[in-house]
Amino acid sequence: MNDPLNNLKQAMNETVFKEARFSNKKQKQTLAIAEHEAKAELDFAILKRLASQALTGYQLYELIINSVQYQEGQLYVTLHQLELKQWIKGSWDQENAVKTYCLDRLGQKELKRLEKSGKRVPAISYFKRGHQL
Amino acid sequence: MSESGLTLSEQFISTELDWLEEVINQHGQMVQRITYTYVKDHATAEDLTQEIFLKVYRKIDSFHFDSSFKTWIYRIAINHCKDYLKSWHYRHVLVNEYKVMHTQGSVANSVSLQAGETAQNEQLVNAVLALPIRYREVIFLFYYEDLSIKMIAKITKSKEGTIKARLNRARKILRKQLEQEGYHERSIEQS
Repeated sequence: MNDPLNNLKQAMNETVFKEARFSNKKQKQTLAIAEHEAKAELDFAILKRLASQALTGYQLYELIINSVQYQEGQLYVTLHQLELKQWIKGSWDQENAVKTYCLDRLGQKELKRLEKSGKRVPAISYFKRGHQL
Repeated sequence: MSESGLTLSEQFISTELDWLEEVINQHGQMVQRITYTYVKDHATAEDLTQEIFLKVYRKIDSFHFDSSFKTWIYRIAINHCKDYLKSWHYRHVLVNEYKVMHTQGSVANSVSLQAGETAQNEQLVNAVLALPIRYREVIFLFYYEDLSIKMIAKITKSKEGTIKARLNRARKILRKQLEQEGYHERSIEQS
């Protein structure tokens, strides 16, 4: 005799799962939330580094980019954006022709807020893209 | 700017989102189906599915490569659903709404009985969904997801003996239920 449970997959697919979909709309919404968090992640990484010491753009690049395994990138746009937000402050060392950044008052507040919210490890630094999902 | 023309922040974000999108594409329907078997409501299942993927994204560092990535997602999904069912919102708001609907004679999510094979399918699915969660989840994972007892034990953090016992008990409950409802031609065998 047949076990009707062996037919469960077909039975569910033809009834309750017939229209069960993780919709495109919801997928986009999920990615939008993740995008917002990823932006905050990068800001956090910069603020965190600057909390302990002032660093040049290149030093930040080495510390942050290497830690998230970027092959190359351009940090300065992000640094400029953070300066505009007054989260960090840049000062030129004319002699050595380098710009050094440190945390600004608003940046300190933001860093505290981000630390309280609990930060995640970026997926790409942890999980190699080639790994079987 | 990089060779791709993206700034660092854009690169970072786009790589992160590509990764998440790939995870959703590969496992989205599976997670949606599992959550449905717990909450029995498509809209709620979709909300929970979203929360589960955000949890996967945020908690990737707690994946220690000691199981497959899919197994890890199963575990997150199941725990998330169980937490939801234990939540104040579910127990105080949704369950009461469900009771009201019952007393008004409109049973949410029930499937109307029709003739033939479809009716039998609906009868079987309704009986499975009516099982207590500990039995429903093993039946679903074993018969729908085709997972082994060993794998189910790993995902639910239970002993294999417990899973076997639950499967047997669930089969007995289902057989009794389906017999009472006049489900005929086939019978559930002990295996």
